[in-house]
Amino acid sequence: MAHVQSIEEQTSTGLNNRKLLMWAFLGSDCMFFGALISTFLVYRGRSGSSILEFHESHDAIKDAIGISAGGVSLILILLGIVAFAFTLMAVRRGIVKRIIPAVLVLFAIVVIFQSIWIAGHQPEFTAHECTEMGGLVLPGGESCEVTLAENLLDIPLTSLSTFVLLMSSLSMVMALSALERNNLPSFRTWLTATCILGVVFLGFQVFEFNAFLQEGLTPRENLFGSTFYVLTGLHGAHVTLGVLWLSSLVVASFKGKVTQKSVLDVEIAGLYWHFVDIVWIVIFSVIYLIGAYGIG
Amino acid sequence: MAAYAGFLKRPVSPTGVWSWLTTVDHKRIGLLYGVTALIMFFIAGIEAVIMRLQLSSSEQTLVSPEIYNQLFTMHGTTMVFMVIMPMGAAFFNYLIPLMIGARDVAFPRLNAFSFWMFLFGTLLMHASFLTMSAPAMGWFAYAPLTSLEFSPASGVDYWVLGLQVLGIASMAAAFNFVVTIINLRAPGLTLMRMPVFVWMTLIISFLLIFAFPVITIALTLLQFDRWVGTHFYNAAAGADPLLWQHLFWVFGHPEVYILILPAMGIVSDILPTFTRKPLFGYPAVVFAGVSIAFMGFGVWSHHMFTTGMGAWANGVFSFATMLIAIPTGIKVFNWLGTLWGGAIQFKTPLLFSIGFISMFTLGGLSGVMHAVVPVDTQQQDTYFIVAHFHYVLFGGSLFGLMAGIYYWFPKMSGRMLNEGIGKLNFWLMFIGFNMTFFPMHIVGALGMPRRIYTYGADQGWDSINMFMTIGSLVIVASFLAFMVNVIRSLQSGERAGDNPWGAATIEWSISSPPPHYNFLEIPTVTSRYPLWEEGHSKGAAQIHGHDDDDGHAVHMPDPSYWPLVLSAGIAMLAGGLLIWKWHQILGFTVISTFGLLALYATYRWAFEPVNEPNHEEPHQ
Amino acid sequence: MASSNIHEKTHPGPRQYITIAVILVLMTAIEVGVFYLTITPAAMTGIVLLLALGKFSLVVGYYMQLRFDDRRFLYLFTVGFVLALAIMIALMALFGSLTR
Repeated sequence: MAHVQSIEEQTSTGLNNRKLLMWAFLGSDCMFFGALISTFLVYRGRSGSSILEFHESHDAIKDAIGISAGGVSLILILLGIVAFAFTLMAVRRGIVKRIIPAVLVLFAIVVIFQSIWIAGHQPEFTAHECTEMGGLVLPGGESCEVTLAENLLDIPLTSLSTFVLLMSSLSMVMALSALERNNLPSFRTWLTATCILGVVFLGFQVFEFNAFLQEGLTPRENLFGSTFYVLTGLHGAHVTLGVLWLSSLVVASFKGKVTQKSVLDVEIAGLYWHFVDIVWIVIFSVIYLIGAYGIG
Repeated sequence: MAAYAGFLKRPVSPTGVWSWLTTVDHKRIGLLYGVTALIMFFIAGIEAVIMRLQLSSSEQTLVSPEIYNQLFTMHGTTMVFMVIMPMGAAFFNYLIPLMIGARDVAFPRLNAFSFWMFLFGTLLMHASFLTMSAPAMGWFAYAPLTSLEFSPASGVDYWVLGLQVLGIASMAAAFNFVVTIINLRAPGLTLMRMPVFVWMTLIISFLLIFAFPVITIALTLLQFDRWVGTHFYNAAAGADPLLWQHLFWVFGHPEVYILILPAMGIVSDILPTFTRKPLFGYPAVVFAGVSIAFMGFGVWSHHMFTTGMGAWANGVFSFATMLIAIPTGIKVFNWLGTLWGGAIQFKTPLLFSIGFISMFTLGGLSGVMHAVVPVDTQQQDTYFIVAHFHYVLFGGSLFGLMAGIYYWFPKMSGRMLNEGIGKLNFWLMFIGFNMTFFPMHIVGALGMPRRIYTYGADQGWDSINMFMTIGSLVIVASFLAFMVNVIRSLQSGERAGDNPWGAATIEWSISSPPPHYNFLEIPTVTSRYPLWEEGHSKGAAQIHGHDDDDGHAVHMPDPSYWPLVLSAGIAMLAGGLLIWKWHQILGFTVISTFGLLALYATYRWAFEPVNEPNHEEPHQ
Repeated sequence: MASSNIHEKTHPGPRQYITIAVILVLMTAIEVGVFYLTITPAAMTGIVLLLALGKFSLVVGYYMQLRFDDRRFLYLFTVGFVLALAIMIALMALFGSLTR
């Protein structure tokens, strides 16, 4: 950030004002998420049951999508990795003309991938799934009484998204390190990678929300729905703001506004990003792993 | 980025409305807070007077029960969030940089942003009056009364959104003051040499940053319940409405310390000046403040003794509440110790300070009574509680703030307030206050419940209530005297010098009012009472900010309109949420538009330099 | 800049960051692995919480560099964190969800 004349020349403690501000903010944000997680934990196990109608997938189109989704996904994942690498290379070489199309292609791949999975994701709900979820087939054989709660959580999928977010913390800290050594191309590459990984994480969240909605868990359905969506949604909002912040730094660095002199500003952005990661560590451990243990 | 980027040039003129809208000068921002708070005080005061008139005798029909509910809700909400807090903020803003020898706060634009958010939040909350459905569920808004089922009107929504906006204002200011006080102190000004007011400001800033997020969540959960249909406070879905009470009071209790500590700081700095001796036991007063803050997070459920939490919970919170009386008592004894043996000058600031000490002590005593669970079971939801919190908030906070106004008015305006009218102001207020609120202990103990719009003629409460209503009119008279004093002074009051009171702290070493850069040279501080030191007059030339050059050599941060734009964007976004409830598409459009504006304003603010290169130095 | 907090030379470099990342991934893998074991809920909770605390500390200590920075940042963050934890435990106790 271009400070022509900074008031923050000498500070009483030798600590930088903006860094102090960020740490105070993070301490405060602990209380924010603490209250949210408390709400979740206090209401755990208090959700009533829901009645879900059975259905078998008769939609041929969705069936077709579902069947092809697997194969197409594989191709898309490979394409996505290529696009990711291509984007990073373009960023590293500073070839702005290539970066924007590369980012758009990557974004398009993510969107198509998501769409296929969402369109093809059809929770086939039969008596088998009902009992698997610990539910009760109601007399009449047409519906199932089940508590829509932790049994819906998809641990493998969320482990993957947790991994993605952890890697984004690594790339963040590598970006900072590169900037400290005045390696601008490397800095931009790592920071772009952080942004993309953040977006991928958000993609996982969007997918998960969609899957749950299709399975009948809405914020209104029961307490678990209310607490889950609000907690993870607000975390996702924090991630989104972080992505916006970091990408504006990438853009600014291409305009020459972020240089080795801006190490502190990038460090402060990094502090926010890592905080968002550690909140997720807590959420994943407490809400997903401990929460869903022994259930479904 | 050049000053010409964007639609408008970066403001440079020191005068005119635009200069006030774009100011980043802490002194101007302080004045803006103060004036706004005073206006809100009159509004909340009128609400109180109407209530008192309604209650002056049994079975009155001056206002309907629905209106009465709106009155006590808005009176409480306004007084807490839009009067006492911003009045404190007015003092923090104006005085902290002056007291620590800084030119401004750490983040001047963030400071301006705080004020505009406060103003917009206030307007948003009061916009509810226009819809004829002001909030009516009490200032603490217990669930499930606040659910759509029981409060379908939009009053609750205005309240929730207004409070969220006000919360942003308070938190931004708190972050600013934490950094300012920790980092911008003059050389030699160690933490234990700071004026007690600065200490209290630091403490309440920490309280704010750690307590406010909890009510942000409580409000957010309520918003989701009302607008999305979640079940956070819906007992039918297995939730517990008590969750609201817990979350609210985890914030709410630190909040009341946020309301009282500034007044305590003010009084701790006024007493030495008018007794000509240092504050008795300064370290004890400081540590008492710190421990009150810590312990304040551990007593919240004393507001919930009658909700059936069980013996263990009741016992723990009762014990903690009694403990917290100890540091408070330490402070009271230290103030008394300061007065003892001092060369007391009974000027108006001192009168209000003594009024503060005595009235706050009474309020503290009734508070300790409430800490005893069986006693509280009788007192809860009666006028006894109303008496308690008015003694601490009016007799405490407000008297302390009045002391501060009378004390620092000369510094801020360059004029003295009239002593005679000041004393009249004090005595009318003291008498009126006690007339209005002391009998509430009695009538509360006799069983008069809170939040009732009328009562039966057979209760026997008529004469006491009439007496209290008359007392409230005496309070009104006291504020008329106050306004007369202020207006007369501003027009033709006696000119104040740098240090009309002969005080000891460095804000009195510069002119009244101070120059826009505060100190020509940042002073070096070597004691708690620098201006009383031996050889002070020798050092005066260094400390005095008098300057023939109009401060050209000193660079101050340039004004900026981004704080105003960003806060307008956020306020409109909040308004958009209200619209969404009524008309989804229009609401969504407003939310997105102003959300994008807010993001854009944030980006532009972030890359705006503190000072434009090659500019005319603005003088304010 | 006299005031900006320039790190001492001892703060980690890229190689250490990658090492930490590997450790974090391993710890996550163990956490997820424990999820698929059949042990008492209390044991599982204990293990996962410990691992989570470990990951938390690694990120806060090394990526956010609290280990190498001025102590006062640590104090500031710790106050918020400990307060949040204490209130969380208190609320769970008050609502009876500590023993479920």
